[in-house]
Amino acid sequence: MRTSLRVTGLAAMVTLPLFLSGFHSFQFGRVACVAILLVSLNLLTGDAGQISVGHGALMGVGAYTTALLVKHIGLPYAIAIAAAAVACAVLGAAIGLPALRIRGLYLALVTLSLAIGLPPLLKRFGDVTGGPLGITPPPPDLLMPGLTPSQSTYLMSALTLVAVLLIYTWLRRSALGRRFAAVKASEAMAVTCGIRVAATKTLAFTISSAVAGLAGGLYLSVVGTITPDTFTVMLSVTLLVSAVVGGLRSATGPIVGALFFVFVPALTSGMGGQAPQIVYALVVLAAVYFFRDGLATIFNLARRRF
Amino acid sequence: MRITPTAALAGAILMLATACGGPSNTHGEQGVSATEILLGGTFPKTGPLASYGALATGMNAYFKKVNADGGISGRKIRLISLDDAYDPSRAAANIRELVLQEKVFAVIDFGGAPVVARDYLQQAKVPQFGFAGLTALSDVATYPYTRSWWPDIGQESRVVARYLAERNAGGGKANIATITINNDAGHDYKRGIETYTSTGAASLGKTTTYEPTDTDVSSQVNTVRDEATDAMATLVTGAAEISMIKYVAQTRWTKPLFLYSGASSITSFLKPAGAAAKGVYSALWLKDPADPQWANDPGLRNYRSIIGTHGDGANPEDIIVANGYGFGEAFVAALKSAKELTPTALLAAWDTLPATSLDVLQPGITLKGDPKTGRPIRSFQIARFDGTSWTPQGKVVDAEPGAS
Repeated sequence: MRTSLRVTGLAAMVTLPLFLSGFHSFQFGRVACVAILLVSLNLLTGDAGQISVGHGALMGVGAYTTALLVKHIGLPYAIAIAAAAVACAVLGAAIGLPALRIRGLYLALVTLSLAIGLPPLLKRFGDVTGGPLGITPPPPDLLMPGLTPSQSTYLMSALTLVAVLLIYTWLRRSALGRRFAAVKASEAMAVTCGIRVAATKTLAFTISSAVAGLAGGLYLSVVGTITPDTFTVMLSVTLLVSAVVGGLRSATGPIVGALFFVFVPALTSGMGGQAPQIVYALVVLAAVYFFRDGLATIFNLARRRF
Repeated sequence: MRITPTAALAGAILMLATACGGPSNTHGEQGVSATEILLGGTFPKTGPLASYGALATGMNAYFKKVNADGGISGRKIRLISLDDAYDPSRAAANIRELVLQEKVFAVIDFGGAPVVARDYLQQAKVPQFGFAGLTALSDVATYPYTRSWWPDIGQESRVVARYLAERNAGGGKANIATITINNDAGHDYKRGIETYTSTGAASLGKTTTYEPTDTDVSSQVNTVRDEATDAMATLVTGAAEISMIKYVAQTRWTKPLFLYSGASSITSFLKPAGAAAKGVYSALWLKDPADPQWANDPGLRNYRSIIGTHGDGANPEDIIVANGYGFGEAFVAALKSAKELTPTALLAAWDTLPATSLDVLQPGITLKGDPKTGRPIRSFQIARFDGTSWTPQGKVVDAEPGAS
């Protein structure tokens, strides 16, 4: 019964936005990409207990890698996005190896510098990256005939999100997932259990980076053009906030977090004055005070009550 | 009822099949009805650049005035303006919302963030008008649906270099140093100076940049300020600009210090710099309402009364409101001269605007359409700040026609 409920939920989630207008399928395309990114943060922070303030930049690296491969080499999007995920995994491993050998906040600081450094770097090498005005690769082919471009990129992102969520759920229950949990609970305890802590943390960061790169490539396919200022440090911070607000320890958390990321600013922007910032701050505070495990826990409460 | 996974999947596929064949893209007279012309705007109304949200208020005040006078051949202009907080992803979403959902006739936006939707708007064939001076946005041939309101930053700095070269004519080649913000706008400004000095009419002095996050540029001033330097041409803004004006005065610099026109506001930069601001130069195209010399100017009097009636409480002394109002005037001029209300006719009208003076433009500066750059303003009034007011230096100067 529970499985069929989940399958129904997922199927409805994937197909329903297709009935909405072109603008809404675009917005839900963004939601799906952000949700994939939040899964990568869940894995890293919620499961392995490490903090990254640079996932927006990793998303940017994924988006730019995809754009360059599509534009200059002519690869199809699916292959370019997969290659972007691999590139981000390599980058993640390279960053993670030295930073994660040391305890504490070093990963946060290293990823923060990545987030600060990426936009100027992208602008500096304008011959390759298109400079401040970014790149627009040719749009992806339609996933199936009859869909509009925004429906098609939405569907591609939503199906990837479903796959990522399934793998994530499986991974958390696997031996590797338990190793992540052990490292998070106590590094000393993990060592006594025979877990190689540094290797485990690096692996978590590598997988997480790959998923962030995947999200970036899909995001490019949804939005069409990317510029360096899309991937500022503010994006990384907002993503981290959305991950916490949605919930770091469940599969529904990233979806709720992504809905928050996309729709709260859009819905409050009409209020005028300082209201949007205040509403945003209040939602974050309410989530942190009343729903420690994220707004996604509302669903669990509702399920218990009814 | 028990729903099996197979049934759910079958349902999903069925729904997917029926979803196919979504709405086709409509273009042509989208956003124009018998009674209305619908425009969409996306501006930073929150975040660090929130002060530029007043551009939309100024422009809308002029639209409301036009509506009160009967509109454009019976059609009222309605502006839906959204907040993008200068975040490219939100600008991209806003522009799709305006085009797909609200079905606007044209999109008006601010700065470099909405560039993410430039290609999209070419495909959707919806005109895009930007408040932006970036040279990369002066390219009508590649982006036939994108136009800009502000003058090209590179054109402005070339006009500045030419002025300095002519001013120094008796004393040998002018040596022009630059301090520019390390972003696309700063690079465009420096490139304009370089383009001019490369002709040999002046020489390029020391050049340096500062980071957008810096609030102090005194070390940059020390770098470029030496005996050989005849003038400093700068694109420095915000807190860094105020500190630069003060520091340059402290070093007893008596040669020209040029400020970027977009950072020449008396209220925001010159008053806060105090006495140190006396003697700075800029290449102006807009009247600053805070400048006392315009207190009885008929154009600004008209502007003030319209902002008072239709400005939703906006401050008419804010140069950003005047800037938005100026766009409103130019846009209405294009709408009125368009042969029909279609995107291509509007763009053609904008590109061929006849010489038109506006309430808020400097005396002697008029709109003049340019089909190559898509920018109707290409002349400047060099002026020197006397401590309270901008004093014109010579006549209005034109940028080279068509150049970008």
